[in-house]
Amino acid sequence: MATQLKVQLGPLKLQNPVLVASGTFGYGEEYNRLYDVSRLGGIVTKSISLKPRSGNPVPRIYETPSGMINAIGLQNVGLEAFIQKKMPFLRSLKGPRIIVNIVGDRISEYVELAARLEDVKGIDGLELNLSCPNCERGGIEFGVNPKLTAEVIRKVRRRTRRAIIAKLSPNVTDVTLIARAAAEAGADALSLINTLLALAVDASTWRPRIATVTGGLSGPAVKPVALRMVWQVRRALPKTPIIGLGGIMTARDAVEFLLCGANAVQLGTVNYVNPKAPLEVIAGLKSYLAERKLKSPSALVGKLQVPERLRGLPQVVTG
Amino acid sequence: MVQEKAKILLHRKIARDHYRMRLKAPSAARGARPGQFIHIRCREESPYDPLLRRPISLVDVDPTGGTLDIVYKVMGLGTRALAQMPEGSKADFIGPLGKPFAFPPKGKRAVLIGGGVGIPPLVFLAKELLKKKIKATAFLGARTKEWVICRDDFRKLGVPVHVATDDGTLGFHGSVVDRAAESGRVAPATRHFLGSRDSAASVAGDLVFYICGPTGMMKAAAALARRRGIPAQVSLEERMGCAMGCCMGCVVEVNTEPVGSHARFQRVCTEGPVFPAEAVLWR
Repeated sequence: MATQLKVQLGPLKLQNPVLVASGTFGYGEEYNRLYDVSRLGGIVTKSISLKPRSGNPVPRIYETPSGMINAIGLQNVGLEAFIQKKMPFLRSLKGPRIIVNIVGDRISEYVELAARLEDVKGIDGLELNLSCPNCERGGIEFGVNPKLTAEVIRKVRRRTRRAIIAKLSPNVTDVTLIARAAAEAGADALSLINTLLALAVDASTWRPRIATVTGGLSGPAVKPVALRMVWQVRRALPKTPIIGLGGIMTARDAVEFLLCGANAVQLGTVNYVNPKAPLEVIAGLKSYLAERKLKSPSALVGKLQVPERLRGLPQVVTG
Repeated sequence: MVQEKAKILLHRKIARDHYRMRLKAPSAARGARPGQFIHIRCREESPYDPLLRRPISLVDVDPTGGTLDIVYKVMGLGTRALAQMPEGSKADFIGPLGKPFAFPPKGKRAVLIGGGVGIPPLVFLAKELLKKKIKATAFLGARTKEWVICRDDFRKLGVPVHVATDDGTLGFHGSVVDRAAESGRVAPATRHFLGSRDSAASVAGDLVFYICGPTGMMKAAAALARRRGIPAQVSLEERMGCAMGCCMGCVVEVNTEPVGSHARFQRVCTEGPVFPAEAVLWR
């Protein structure tokens, strides 16, 4: 039997397990100028808020060894302009699943976003940005607290029939607590990880490199942290669909995430470095599987070889 | 716009710390306009350091021969890695990117004010202006003599060049903008349109400024243009993530959109790099 790349991610059928990450791919049209984005497994849009946002002051980005820090501040066109101006193109794509990433300052905003998107055609799922560390007002409060995380998801769950994907922050002591809360509240899948809270300094001027002082670190530098968290969550939640992301540059990086327990992957920062990376990862994954006579990406999921005593569920953490 | 690996046909040092690179890129060369840039990858393999591409403006384009030329200055990790790429190897670039310079109406005269590594895009601009029978004069500034680049490119085009250096090692001693405006001592040619306030008004209507260089220089040149009522375009430089309009990292604040509007911060890679000078809120 020939190798194929289709995967099932909770309720979502993907033509391949390679998605592009929120905030790194605009609304799809931008990169369609360079290649046919309908070949992607899924597109996660830039975070959408109810009202347009102007974002943070500059400088907003800074390059670090094998990574970058960003503090964009969720600059976006807002829900109405998104529906009117950005959705028509996304809707026209037949191949990829379209996931709209939403963000709010209050739980009621997530709920309203979900409700208003419910009648918009061409959307397959909502990814809840619970973890953006840049915005003073929102994001991080939800994602670092299991109760708030659960509450947002539960309330959004009541207003949408679409798949709910919770994007988790890595800036917590035990990511499995948040992951469990999200899954039990009704999330269909988890995306992990978002960026790591970081700071870069200019020793000449004694100033931070980013206007908001701190920002989110992404790129190959964060991959080991992301792999560790995917593995931990997979052990804690054997059945929950996981989308792994964090520093994936190549097909082999994607394989590492699958081995640690991810069912699919998102590519983020690499879009800036090598726009055609998603296509290269799709092709590379197929040949990786074919060379090993594996029928599907699911043959790799959670297959990391670890000592016996480290398999299965970790001890329950309480308190 | 394309992303492709282009053969490096030429790669040589043109001044201390400055290099010129020619890429074989026929499809990109066909549509490239002055003021546009390419986003070039400096290192392709692990550990991906530097990770991000570098935006570099076009100094010349040959649509017939299918080549793009860039000039860059070695500033840090990225450009240092770029300088190591041998002729004959391939460079991964995206381009052409960004909004080009707008040409003035017939009868106007273009004043090109360039500082340091901001000079190269003005060479490409001068070439295209001359094709449209628009006269151009170049004012080039740099910290020191060795960094006054591209003089020969302008001369070959027949564009008069006036030079200023911060340390006085070449041409006028001082800033290319301020001193030109205040003293009129840069060269006789400046005096009649920049030097004297009295004569300025009568000739200002015929001039257009094209400005590219360090922020301080651009700010001063933009202020001069505003004082004299001369329309001016600036080509900005910013650190860039994607250069495709997605990351929102390279934004500049403009006064043409209301405070708080999502369009108040515009992308240098997409709405720019060329902006009307009066729209830019200088940092």
